[in-house]
Amino acid sequence: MKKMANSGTSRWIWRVAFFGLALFVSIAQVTDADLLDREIIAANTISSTSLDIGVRHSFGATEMTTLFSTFGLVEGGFDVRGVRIVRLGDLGFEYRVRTEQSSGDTVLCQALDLVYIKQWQLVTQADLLSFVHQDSLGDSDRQDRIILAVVLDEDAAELMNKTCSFSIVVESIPSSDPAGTKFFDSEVIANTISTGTWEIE
Amino acid sequence: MPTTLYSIARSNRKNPRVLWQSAVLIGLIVAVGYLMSTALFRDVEESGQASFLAGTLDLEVEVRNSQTEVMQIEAFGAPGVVADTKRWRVRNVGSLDGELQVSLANIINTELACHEPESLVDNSCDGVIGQPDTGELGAVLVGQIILDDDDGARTVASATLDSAQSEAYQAQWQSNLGQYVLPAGEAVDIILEWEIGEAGYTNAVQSDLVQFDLVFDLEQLISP
Repeated sequence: MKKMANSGTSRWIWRVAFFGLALFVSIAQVTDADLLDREIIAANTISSTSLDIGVRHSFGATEMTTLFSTFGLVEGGFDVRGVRIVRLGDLGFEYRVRTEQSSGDTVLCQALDLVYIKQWQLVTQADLLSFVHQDSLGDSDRQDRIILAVVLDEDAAELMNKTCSFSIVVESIPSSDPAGTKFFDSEVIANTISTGTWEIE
Repeated sequence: MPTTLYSIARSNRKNPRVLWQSAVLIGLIVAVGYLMSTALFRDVEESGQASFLAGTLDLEVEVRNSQTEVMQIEAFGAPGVVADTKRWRVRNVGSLDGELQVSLANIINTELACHEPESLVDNSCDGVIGQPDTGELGAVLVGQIILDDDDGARTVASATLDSAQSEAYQAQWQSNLGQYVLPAGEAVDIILEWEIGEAGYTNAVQSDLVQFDLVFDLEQLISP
């Protein structure tokens, strides 16, 4: 019984094969036999570059989100921190370091000074809230070593037990050249300075 | 022949070995028949278009104003690297006139890295590094195929280098030029120009790669 079934299947397969071939022969009118020459310039590529600013702790590779977290600052006192501004992308960049008050006592923020030292050289000292410094990191430069100091030189009772929170913004400066890069990056570092008490002279 | 094989199969139902031998024999006959019929078609085609049997169709692509044939642009987005042009001379060095068609094909956009500025505007870029059709660079670039012949230079195809545009260049060439004949021995210049589209570009295209093939076809003219 099983052999008969197999025999029937085989017969059916042969019939289909012959009829299929006959059908193909009867309907084929043209073949793709025209001449064609093809030249291919393969794998043309356009790749883009990158611009990425990193702010890192002076001693490690972790990303910095907070720099100053200072409590009990008194008249004549200062606090010092280090930061590395790092080129993480391919492109070098011109950058701007500026500050902006985020919260806290404005009088205290206005009384503070920010000192900017780069490569162990004093670059500038200015009022904290008006601080702006421009610099650059070339395509072959890896990093800038920066030391920042917050200084309180004013002696006033209204500055005691106050808090000033501010951000240090490190941002690339867009080029004014129309052909300049449109890539942009900005990093924000949070800071808090709180004063203590002292005797007024 | 089929009747004979069928008879063999029928008379050897109880002998599978003979049945399989018959099957192999039938397979051979079908294969030989197919090959013979294919050759027959070629004969018919050639006898009807006898003229091209004596000729050749040969396309040659030369590089002009460039040291390398393949276009390789690095550091798009760096100052000054926002557009470029490359020119090729295409010559029909065969003895037959042919229909010329030039197109861009196999456009692939790939994400090569995911820097922080890009991740802020494309938060998925970190997970697709190296995968095809993930980069955004091609979508902000416009490629143009310019034909420069005796009638002057004119753009015949223009589209972005987005992966989805792989068919657009060929379609535009056909719609703008129809059947463009390059006579035997003649040459024309093909210019490929790319530039930033009107929308410009942003951090989303950082560290991207767009790759494509430039295809030159010279096809036999078919008589109506």
